[in-house]
Amino acid sequence: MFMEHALTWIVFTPLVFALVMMFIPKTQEKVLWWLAGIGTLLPLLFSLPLAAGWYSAPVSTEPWAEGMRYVERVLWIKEIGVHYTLGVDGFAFTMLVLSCLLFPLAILASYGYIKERVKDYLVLMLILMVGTNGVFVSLDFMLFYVFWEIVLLPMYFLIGIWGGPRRSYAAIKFFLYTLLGSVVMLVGAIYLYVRTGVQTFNMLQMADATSGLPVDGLTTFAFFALLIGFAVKVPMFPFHTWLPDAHVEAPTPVSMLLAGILLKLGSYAMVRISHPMLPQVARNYAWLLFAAGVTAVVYAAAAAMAQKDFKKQVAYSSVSHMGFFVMALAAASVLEPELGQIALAGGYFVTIAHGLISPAFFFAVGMFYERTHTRDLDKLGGMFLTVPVISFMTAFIAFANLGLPGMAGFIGEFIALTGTYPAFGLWVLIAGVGMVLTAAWHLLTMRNVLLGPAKKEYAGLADVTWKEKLIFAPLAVLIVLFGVWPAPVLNILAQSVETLSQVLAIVGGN
Amino acid sequence: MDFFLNNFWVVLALPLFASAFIAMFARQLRRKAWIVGSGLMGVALLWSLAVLAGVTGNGEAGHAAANYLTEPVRHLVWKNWASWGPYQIDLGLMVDNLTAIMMVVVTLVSFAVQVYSQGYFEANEKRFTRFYSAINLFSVGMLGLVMADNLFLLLVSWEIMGLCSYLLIGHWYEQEWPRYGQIKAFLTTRVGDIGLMLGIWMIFAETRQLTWDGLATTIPQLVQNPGTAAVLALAAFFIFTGAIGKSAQFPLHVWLPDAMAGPTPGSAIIHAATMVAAGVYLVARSFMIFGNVPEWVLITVAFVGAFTSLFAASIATLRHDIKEVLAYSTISQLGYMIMALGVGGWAAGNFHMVTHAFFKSLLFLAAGSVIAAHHHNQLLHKMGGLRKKLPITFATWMVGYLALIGFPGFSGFFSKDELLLAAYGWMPAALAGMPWLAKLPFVMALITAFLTAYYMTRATYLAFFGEPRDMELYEHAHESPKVMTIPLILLAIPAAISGWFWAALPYHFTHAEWMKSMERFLHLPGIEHSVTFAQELQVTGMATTAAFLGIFVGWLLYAKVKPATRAAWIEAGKPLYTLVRNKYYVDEFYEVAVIRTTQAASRFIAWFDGAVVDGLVNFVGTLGTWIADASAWFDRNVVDALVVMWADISRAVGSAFRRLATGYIQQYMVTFAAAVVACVILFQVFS
Repeated sequence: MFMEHALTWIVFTPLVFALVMMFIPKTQEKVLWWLAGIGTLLPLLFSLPLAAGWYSAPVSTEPWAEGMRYVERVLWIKEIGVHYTLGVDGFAFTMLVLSCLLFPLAILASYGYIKERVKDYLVLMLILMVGTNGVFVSLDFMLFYVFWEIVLLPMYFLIGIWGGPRRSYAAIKFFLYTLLGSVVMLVGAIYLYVRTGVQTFNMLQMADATSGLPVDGLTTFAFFALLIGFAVKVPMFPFHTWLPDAHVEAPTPVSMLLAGILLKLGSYAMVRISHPMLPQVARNYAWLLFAAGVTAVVYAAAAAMAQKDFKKQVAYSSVSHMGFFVMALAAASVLEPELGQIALAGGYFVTIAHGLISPAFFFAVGMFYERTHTRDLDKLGGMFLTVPVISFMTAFIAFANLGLPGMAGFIGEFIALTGTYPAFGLWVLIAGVGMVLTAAWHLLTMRNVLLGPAKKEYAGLADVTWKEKLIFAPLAVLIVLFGVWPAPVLNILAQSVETLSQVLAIVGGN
Repeated sequence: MDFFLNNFWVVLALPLFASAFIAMFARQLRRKAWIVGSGLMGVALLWSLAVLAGVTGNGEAGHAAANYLTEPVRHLVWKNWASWGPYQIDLGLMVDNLTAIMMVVVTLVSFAVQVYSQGYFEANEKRFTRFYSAINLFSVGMLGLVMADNLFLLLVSWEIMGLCSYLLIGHWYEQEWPRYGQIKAFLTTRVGDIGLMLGIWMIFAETRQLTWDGLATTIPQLVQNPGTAAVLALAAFFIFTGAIGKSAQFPLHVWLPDAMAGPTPGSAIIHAATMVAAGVYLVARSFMIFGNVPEWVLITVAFVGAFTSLFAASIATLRHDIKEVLAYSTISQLGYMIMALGVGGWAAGNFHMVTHAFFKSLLFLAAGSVIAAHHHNQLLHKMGGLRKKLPITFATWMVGYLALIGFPGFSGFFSKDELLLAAYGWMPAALAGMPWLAKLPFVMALITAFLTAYYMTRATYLAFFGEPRDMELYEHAHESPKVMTIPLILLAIPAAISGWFWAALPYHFTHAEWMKSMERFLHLPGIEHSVTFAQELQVTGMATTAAFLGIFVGWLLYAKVKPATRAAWIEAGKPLYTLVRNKYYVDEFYEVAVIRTTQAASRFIAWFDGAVVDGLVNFVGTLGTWIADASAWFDRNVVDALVVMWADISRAVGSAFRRLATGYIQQYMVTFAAAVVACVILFQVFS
């Protein structure tokens, strides 16, 4: 019973909890916190047996779910061929687990931090979880689109209500920008639906039909319509400017989710939709994607260096890191499958590593902000002598973020570039410059914030609490684990990576 | 012995455990951390000695393979550590001759440093445990580097050392200089590291492997194709840039002098004996790449090394800070080793790496003893006459001094002799038309030998001889405690005699086989150098003359010539003096060309991002509201005037649009989507 509908359970459990919580008076804060905690923790527990049984789970061979595990299917809108189809492969499942891990941590991080309109906040968080998890398990485009849009609304309110001083500007910008992107995406998908006449919105079946289309003006248009929709989410240079604003205004737990999982909706959608559907176009424009990715790596690192706001720096570093994924994806679309797999596996590993590192980094920034009420790099200082444990945690995460070996970030970047070099040659040196700049601003920021003599105004600040340790520890453990032993993640990804790089290569004639 | 040899990985595990244990129980251990650290490192040292004995007794195995590969005596592999696409990456640890001897070097220096530091740090030192944890983690990195059987694991160890170097330079991070030095060190080496990584990516793209034995089989075949050979040569060059960064070769040498901001014992192990030698080790270990690719790469290596050795030695002649003299001396000696590898003196380069590790860490620790005795004064011009106050420190320093300048009989004499000999006999085919160019590294190395003897004599004289220049500091100076002097003596022994295991010259007269043990031990198949005994004597004669000349000039200038006369001479050669005194303005050049430029570029990009890229986004948003306003105006004043009914509809649309831009977007989306669907369907129907 459970295993047949495991994915449905994972996606909709938070919704059930959200509905229940709506009927609980908002004065009952304790109950609400508990419900939200359990409601986000249950999906994580549900995902564990799926992870444990991954290699023994049957792999579907149906055309509507080929290569997927834990599939479910119910007819939804007969007239246009929309089904409620769920299923996960390596790309989807890693993201699903990441999402299930980050939401309980974000709820825990909100506890004691969010004090106003608690009920609304928690309900929105739960709905957000439904949206993100739904995106990762949907195999039908319409279903995917519904979840994709569900993500927008709670995020809009979470930034707009609980955000900083410029919250309404940031929230509207986030909303309009990503909405515009998703509408463009919808246009592209509908065009492909009509053009091929497949009578189904199933993404795998659509891809089977569309990947054979000739490269012409309209398929190119459709590809970019899809890609731009996802590029805004990633965010890919030059569609990234909403991100620093959104992060600066968002409360810490929301930032953790925004960087940790919401950006991955874009990268996931690229490997699930735009590239499998139109690999022939992707191949033609790989250089453009590479240029955008490599520019993001160096550009965002340089922009981060000049920021005065700690959190804005970390936000720019997200843009920089997602650039590695974009580069690697571009490389995978032009390489023969053996090397393409390396690029793709590495690039996707970057997004997973970033999903662990960036929430922890934002959390670290939040710990300082909660104590000092500033994120101004000129005002912070001498923290190692004031709050040594928090400072140690921050240094740890900064080194993870700048790509120190032994941590997950390095593995992803290194493998991704190993695969990218054969495709684009010495141009990867530009990314190398970005890596040096990244190291530079991390070290300068550490010097500003952590090192140096203790500041008088911060004397007597409380060091880390148990709650904070509890949030940080699982992320730190996974960062080191996957940095030393990335095989569990790479193995789960392997099948999907192989399939996609073959799709990309076959079309290209390799 | 076999037990120790079979379980050689324990040598790596011991410091790893020590580092974690000290970090975890820092509060309980406090000052006792040194017992944990040096105790476990002592075990590791004994274990390494047993491994070395085991390898020595292994006959030919450790050095008998083709294509610049030494065959491991023992090899442990983590099969299929991770799959990179279809490629399975195995991580392995191995021990061969070079690894075995480096294990002894690393553990010995680390042990000596950890015992010594106990006395070096003052009782109120706050970060005592942090230092011990970092030193042990560093030892893990260096041991991992020499045990790695592939480029990837080497890179990981390489970067772990970089982290520890950063941590130890910034040990006293309340002060400005350590904070500056640690960032400078990390970033400068990072530049080289990117080169190293690029080299690894290129190697992988061409060969699809990263293990030493895999590379040794594939590369000789691949270089048959000139196109591939050219790419591999470029890859080798990029790998070499990693060595330039880590081993502080010109032009990335600037970080090492500022690394002296850290505690002296840390400098002794990281910035003198081991980590900075990692670049040399990298080139030596990946010689199956360097030796097979087109010659220009090794020629570059040779010239970079030779130039750096001369360049740094000249700077060292005018330094005032005792640690800075040693830092530039280290750069110069590393240049020697790099040059030796470049001219094909594989064994000579490694031999010098070993002897240098002993005598340079000894010199650093002795300098640390002087500094501790002298109230943390590091300026040579305030010292003087200290030989009477610090007899043991003085004696051990003198051993290091004689070894460094290549005084006959001391370890440095033999290793320097070997590498000069290799440079002397160097004649690459590409330079056949320009024999004088092929002799240039040798000439530079010979001048360096003279300068080395000169600046070390100067430093030695200023510190230990003559009259005290600062009576108050002199009065308070006292010999260091036994925990500091015993490690000095421990290091002085190999610094003095470790050259005897390679004594070609005495061997010629005595024919005692053990004297050539090291040469055979570090022999690399594929590299033979053939020089006659007469040439050997000639080179030894030249090198020794240069050294004695250096001692004489140094003694003359500082012991005999009056300070006033010296000042007059400096005045006479003012432009040259200023140039060298300011380290040829390399730092200033970087300040303008790299640091300020980068800062300006980053400020520009941040501005550009806000004003242009985001400006465009905001402009589109504003444009949306304008269009909504315009349509509302049109609606009111044009359409409304015409037909009331149409105006009503239009107003609804107009205000709907206006709302769009203020956030009520769901309707907009639905409308737009529906419109697009309609358009597409219409398009299909009509076409």
